[in-house]
Amino acid sequence: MLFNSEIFLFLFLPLTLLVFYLLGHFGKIKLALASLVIASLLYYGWWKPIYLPLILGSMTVNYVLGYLIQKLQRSGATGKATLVVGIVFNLGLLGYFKYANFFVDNLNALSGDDWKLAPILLPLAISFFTFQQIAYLVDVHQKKAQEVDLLRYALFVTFFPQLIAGPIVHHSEMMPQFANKNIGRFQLANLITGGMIFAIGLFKKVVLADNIAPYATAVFNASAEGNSVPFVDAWTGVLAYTFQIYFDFSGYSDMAIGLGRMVGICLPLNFNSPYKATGIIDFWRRWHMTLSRFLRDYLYIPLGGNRMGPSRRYVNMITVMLLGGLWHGAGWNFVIWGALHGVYLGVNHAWRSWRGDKISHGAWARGGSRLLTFLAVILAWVFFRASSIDSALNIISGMLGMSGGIPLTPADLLAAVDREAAVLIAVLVGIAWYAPNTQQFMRDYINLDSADKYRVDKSTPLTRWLRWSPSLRSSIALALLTAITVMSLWQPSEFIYYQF
Amino acid sequence: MWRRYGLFYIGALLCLCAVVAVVNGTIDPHGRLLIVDREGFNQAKISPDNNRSGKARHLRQCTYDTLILGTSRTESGIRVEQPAFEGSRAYNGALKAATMYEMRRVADYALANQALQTAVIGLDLSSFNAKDQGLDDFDESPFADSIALGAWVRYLVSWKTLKHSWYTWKWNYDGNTVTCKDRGEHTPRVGAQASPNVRTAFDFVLKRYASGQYPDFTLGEQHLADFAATINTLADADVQVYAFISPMHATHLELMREMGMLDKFDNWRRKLLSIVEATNKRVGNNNTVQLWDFSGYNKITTETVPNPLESAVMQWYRDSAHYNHDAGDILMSQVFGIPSPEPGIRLTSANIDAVIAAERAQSDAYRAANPSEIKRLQEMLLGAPYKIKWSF
Repeated sequence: MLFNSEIFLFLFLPLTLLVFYLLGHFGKIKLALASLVIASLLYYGWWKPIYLPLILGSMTVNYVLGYLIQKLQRSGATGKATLVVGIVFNLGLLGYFKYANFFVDNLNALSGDDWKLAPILLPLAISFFTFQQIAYLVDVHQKKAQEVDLLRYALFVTFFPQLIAGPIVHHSEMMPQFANKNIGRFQLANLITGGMIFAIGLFKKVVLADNIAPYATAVFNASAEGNSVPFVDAWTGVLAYTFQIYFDFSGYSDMAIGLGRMVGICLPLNFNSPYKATGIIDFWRRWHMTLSRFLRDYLYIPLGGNRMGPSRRYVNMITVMLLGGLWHGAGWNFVIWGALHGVYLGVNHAWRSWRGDKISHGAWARGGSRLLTFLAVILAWVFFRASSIDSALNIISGMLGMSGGIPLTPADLLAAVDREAAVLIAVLVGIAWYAPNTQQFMRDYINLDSADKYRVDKSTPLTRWLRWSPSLRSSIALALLTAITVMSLWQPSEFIYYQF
Repeated sequence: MWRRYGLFYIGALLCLCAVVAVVNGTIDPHGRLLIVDREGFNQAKISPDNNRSGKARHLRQCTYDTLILGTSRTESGIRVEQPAFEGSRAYNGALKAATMYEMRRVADYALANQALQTAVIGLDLSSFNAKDQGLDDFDESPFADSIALGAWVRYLVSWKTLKHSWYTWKWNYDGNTVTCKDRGEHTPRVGAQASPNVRTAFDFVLKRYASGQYPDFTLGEQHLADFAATINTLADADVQVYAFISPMHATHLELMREMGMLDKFDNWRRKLLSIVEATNKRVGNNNTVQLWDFSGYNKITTETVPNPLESAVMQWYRDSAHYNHDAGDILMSQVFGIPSPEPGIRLTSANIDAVIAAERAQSDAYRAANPSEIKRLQEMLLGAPYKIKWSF
């Protein structure tokens, strides 16, 4: 079930909200929370019911392990062995379902053997709920989290707004909210604010991402079929994908936050205008923020972070990004994407060590930094999107003009470019670089935690003018936005991040 | 404050959607409602391509006596102006990825709007896949026997329909009137047809069938019932029916053999034949419905496929499943009794066993003569997921 599907929008969501708030209204808080768990499992199982036992099993095992660690610690033991068992269990599950075929293929390629595995369908959300539960076990071990309530733990793992593609939440962010005595109490402000955030996300996905997607698909498919891609087509396809994934993920993240808010739960920011970044370090503070946070807290810092000297720091950084790439998918193209970002981060840190961060204060320098960052990011997207390394290199050849078709005059350019695609890309550049993002737009009502509030970009006159408030003007503007979305809704496409 | 905001928002949203629905319902670019039908306003419908709605419009607004049914193979392979259709006005009502149910509905729709004398039905195994439900635009088209509330909403509150409404209104405003020049022929964008070489297109389509249509193929009993209903309805309306099994390229047949599909294919042909013969028996004329088979190995289907690096165009094929107009002319000539190379045969219960046995022998001969093609197929299938077996 997709957030942008009819069944979700017109049946699942209204029914879930109705049952949740009715139970809350009659003071049945536990039942209200249970209704959210059941709805979440229904949402998850809609795709492949066969994988419901997987998430239920994973959740039960992790809950029991978390309980054991706490019990062992109360009796004076460290619980480290139990933690290791938990991490091995979670990574084993992820490794089997996500990486077994990749591993066997590469083993065959290296050894010349012919081991064969059945095709393993990747269970939805496994990367997300696995990471979330590893973080939980580590937090329990470090005494940052404790949980005894199975119902609340079940909701923490399965909460449908963020189950499939994040944000990856910390136990400490969610449990106090689930334990809040006001949960389940209907507040129109929550419903409307959440609904507006959701509507903005849906617009980004359905109207912006889905309309630019065909231009990316055409070029990457042509390349996958072995066709050479001329210069203008290559750039059109790559820019189209650059904005497809941006608005797809941004839209999804908004929808997740909006849905959470509709039931009175605040989810952390996950996306903060990453194409406005003036460096790769900045980019990773803005793109998939909760994954960056997870990788930093549970991988980079345990590896030694920056505490073991500069060279070890760079090694750690590249290792983390390689694994981050592999987390996105079992393929060498994802590894290369991660490696590229690891190298970018290394260069960015080296630059900062050498020159400091002063260069970013000048307008021209900031513009140049932003453009350079943007170009580096889109180069990496080629590997991320292409079906093979050959296909990616083929497209990069096209972008470099090695497949011909470089327009030498404006007339050549006009003849070569698809005008509809060019206009769409120009509009999307404008939105990504200059328009306020959802958290700026909803600043006064979005209820961010203090850390996220600090991350929201500073206001400009434009963002102040566009800032949302529950007024007549904004109701009509958002109704227009929603109407355009509804009219484009009827052929839902999957979110890119659902496959991770 | 919040209550007022919510009411304004919902009210404005419903008003906007209602305005769009009224505009779309009035101009009705796909001809689904026909409430308003005025020259200079919306009478001449303009569909951007030969989709289901466009073909329904042709069949409603123009006059034909010969209807061609089928999938994209027939749509791109059988032209309406050719010796076989001389003296008649043929319309190609074949639809991309059509199921047999859709063909049945097109036949019903055509019978309700036209005085048909002849029907030609191109038959493909893929139209009888129990799991295949056809394309989405069928439900929105007048071919659908009923339209659900959801489909109405999708049609009326739709950006796509609004764009088509605009085109339709502009087209009529510019003085255009109903035109019947387009007669349903269409070259579909199948896979890599735009590729620089035919081999790429062959590989693309073969892979698509290997991983999409053929694994877990199940012959749909309802689809067979739809075929029976189609030819019976046409026969009852005194329409002469020529059904034919499309000529797939030999590599495609070999793909089916490699995937163990040939028994299913033969079973399908036998069932089609028994339905045809039962219909003829019922109407008391052995020739009312004829079933022709062009799927064997012959000069057309065994045409050499160019190497990957060659940019040569094939004489008969666009890809392994789609033949071109020149091949289509030959098929129709044979069916309509015009002297031609005769690549096919009319199937009867007396000859079907011999036809199948001969094809097996021809297949063996083709494999012996074209080992590189077979190796290529086998390598391709090794990469397809369905071949991989558990070994844990």
